[in-house]
Amino acid sequence: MKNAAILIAFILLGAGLTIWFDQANTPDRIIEKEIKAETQMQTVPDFTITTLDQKTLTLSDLKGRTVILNFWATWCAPCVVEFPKLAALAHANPDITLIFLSSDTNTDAIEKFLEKQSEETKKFLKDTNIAIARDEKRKITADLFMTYKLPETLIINKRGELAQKIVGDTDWQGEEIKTLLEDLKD
Amino acid sequence: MKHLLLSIFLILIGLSNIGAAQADESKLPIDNFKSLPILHDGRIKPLDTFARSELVHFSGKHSFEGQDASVWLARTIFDPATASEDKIFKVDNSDVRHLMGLEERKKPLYAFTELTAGLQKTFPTVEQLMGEPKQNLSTEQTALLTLHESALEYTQLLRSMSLLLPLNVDLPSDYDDHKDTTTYLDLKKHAIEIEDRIRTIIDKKGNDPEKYSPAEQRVAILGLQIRTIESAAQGNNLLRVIPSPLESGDYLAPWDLVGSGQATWESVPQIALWEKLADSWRDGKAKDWHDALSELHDLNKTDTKPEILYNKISPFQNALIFYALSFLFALASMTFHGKKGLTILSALTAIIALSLQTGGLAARIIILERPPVGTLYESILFVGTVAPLFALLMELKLKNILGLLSAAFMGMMVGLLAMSMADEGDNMKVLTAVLNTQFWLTTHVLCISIGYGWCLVTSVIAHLILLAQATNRITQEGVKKLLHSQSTLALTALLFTATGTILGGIWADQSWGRFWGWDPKENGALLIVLWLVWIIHGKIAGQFTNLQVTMGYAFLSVIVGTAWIGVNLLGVGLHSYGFTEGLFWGLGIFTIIEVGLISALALTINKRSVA
Repeated sequence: MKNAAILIAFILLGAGLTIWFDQANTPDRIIEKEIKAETQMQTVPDFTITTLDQKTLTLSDLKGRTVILNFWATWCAPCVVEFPKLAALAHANPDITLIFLSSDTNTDAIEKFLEKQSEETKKFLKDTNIAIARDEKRKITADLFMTYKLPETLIINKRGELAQKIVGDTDWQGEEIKTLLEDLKD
Repeated sequence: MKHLLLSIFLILIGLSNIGAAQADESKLPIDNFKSLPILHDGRIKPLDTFARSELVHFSGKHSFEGQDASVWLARTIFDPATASEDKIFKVDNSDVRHLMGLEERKKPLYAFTELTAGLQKTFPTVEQLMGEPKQNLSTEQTALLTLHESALEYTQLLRSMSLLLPLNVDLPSDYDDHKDTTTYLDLKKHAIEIEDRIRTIIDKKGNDPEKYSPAEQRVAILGLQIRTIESAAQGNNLLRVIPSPLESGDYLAPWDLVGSGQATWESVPQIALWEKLADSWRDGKAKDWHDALSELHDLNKTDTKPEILYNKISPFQNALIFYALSFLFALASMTFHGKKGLTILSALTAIIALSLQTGGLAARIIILERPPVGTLYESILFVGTVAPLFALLMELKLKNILGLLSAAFMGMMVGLLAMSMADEGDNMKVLTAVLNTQFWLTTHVLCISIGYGWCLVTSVIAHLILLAQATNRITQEGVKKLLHSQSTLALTALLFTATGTILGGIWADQSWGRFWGWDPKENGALLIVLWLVWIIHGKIAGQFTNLQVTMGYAFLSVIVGTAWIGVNLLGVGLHSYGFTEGLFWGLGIFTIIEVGLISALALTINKRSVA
């Protein structure tokens, strides 16, 4: 009788442990954790830049608009490749603001680069939703955003939170970006 | 009595933590550093565990010259120049020492600086060996390859924080940020300008530095230094201590964070705090050290305390000491014909050991968030806990010290086996996907491990019966009683092993789509079941004498050893952990000893009964 009781106790303990382990990691709980992680979006720190045409632009003033912040430089090959694509994207989406923040050491290099762009890109760059600025001493690029690898692009939602960070060149005309920008409109 | 036990407990716990106590003598308190989280081998663990496993990997020891492993780690990452003189590389193989041109020492421990010439010299050989299949390599070749791999890992550690450490650079005034020290990250901000200037200089004066002015030479050297630091840090991703701001739950090494573009503004305080830690460590500034650690803990919010406590108490190692004491007390009690005080002492020390093991298993469940039987090592810990527990339960029933003796003996033996299997300190491995299914891991593996535990108790009791009969230290009545207990134990062992084996089949069916695949481990489990069924049936049918039945149960230790550990050495099948030479010989010698011992005891009993 005593032995049977011990055996039953063991079986019950085993069953209890089984249920506990099984419940601890149910798919629902895992999904819950993932959703929580995704919804914790980070507010992008504020900064002010002076554009090449001497206008002052502060990120917090752009709340209510989707912002694409592109860290680039004229000597960075992938940056040069994606530059016209980004300009075309901003032209096609006037409700977003595109900031080209250059790590070039002088403004001359940027101006020379802009001169070499196609007529179509030059036309896009005249749009009011595109800003080009030089980051003096890389205070925003390196000190504030720790960006050391160009190009890097931050897509910031209307609340000023980071929606996506893209390292390197990407397909700016692709479906993924289109969907993302569409989602950010809501 | 109570005070005596408490004193024994405290002395023994203290003894095993000498290293930790001495670590407090280092210039800065290390406790908060130890508990910082790191992502290593697929799970987040405290730096303490990482430091221990790295140090064991290099030197085979948990501490360095009496210092805590975390002190060694802090010196290695924050003060690499000093650390590279630490004699931490254990080069056991004399041929490798000769090849590397190392001097012979009483203890074959060498500093990284002593190895560098030899590493360079043997690199072409190692390059060739890397292309060879591992099974074709000799012991010396494997040892040489392992030493090179260890040295590579060590250089990763030495350089892991090099982007935050002060550089010995001659900075042109226009790049001087007026900081006390200049780090790689400070320089990196100017790297673009420096590259620009170097391009201009080359355009103007060509590639010969002798044609440059002193100011131009300084710029060129600076550019070279930046590139050298960067190339040395390529792929440096071992020390993953900074939480990824983009991927929840992921951690990155400082170089990886900067190089992969995963850093954001949230990484800035992390990097700054690690820089502050590095500075305060080198300058011995306790306040800065303490503040930086507190802030890092506030930012990271990962609780690693259970594992720190687990490391500090070392429950399984300490349990071994208590089992040894329990065994001695039990033996003494038997010698003095069951003296009550000694029996109580034996029981209490065994209970302390069992409590430590149970606490250890509970801690592993909390830390790993899964049942504590996912690897061979873990199953040894588990069986090492349940087998003495079953023996103690038996003692409750029989009250003849044999249960105590069995519990202590099994606790010691399985504990020693676990220690020999505890590779590289941290043995809390992340499981492969198929194993990491909580339900089946809990039911099948626990069931079969409990079965192993019962088998071991049965075997030990069978040994004791043989021993007692051979030495004529037991009455016929006593033998009868023990044979009855032995049968009950064997039936319980059969129940658990058979159920566990069937559950394993169901798990295999769900995971791999087949119930039985004649995998060595499956065959091993079946072997135990068949062995038990054979002996039990032989007994019931009257085909075996009591002596033969007891011999069969005694030999269960070898059957379990083969099924549990031996099949992993075959190098094939889904449960293979690879061939381990030491384990192979250990199991071989154990089998020979068991065959010899059981046969000798049986022959003696036979002779006695004939006489």
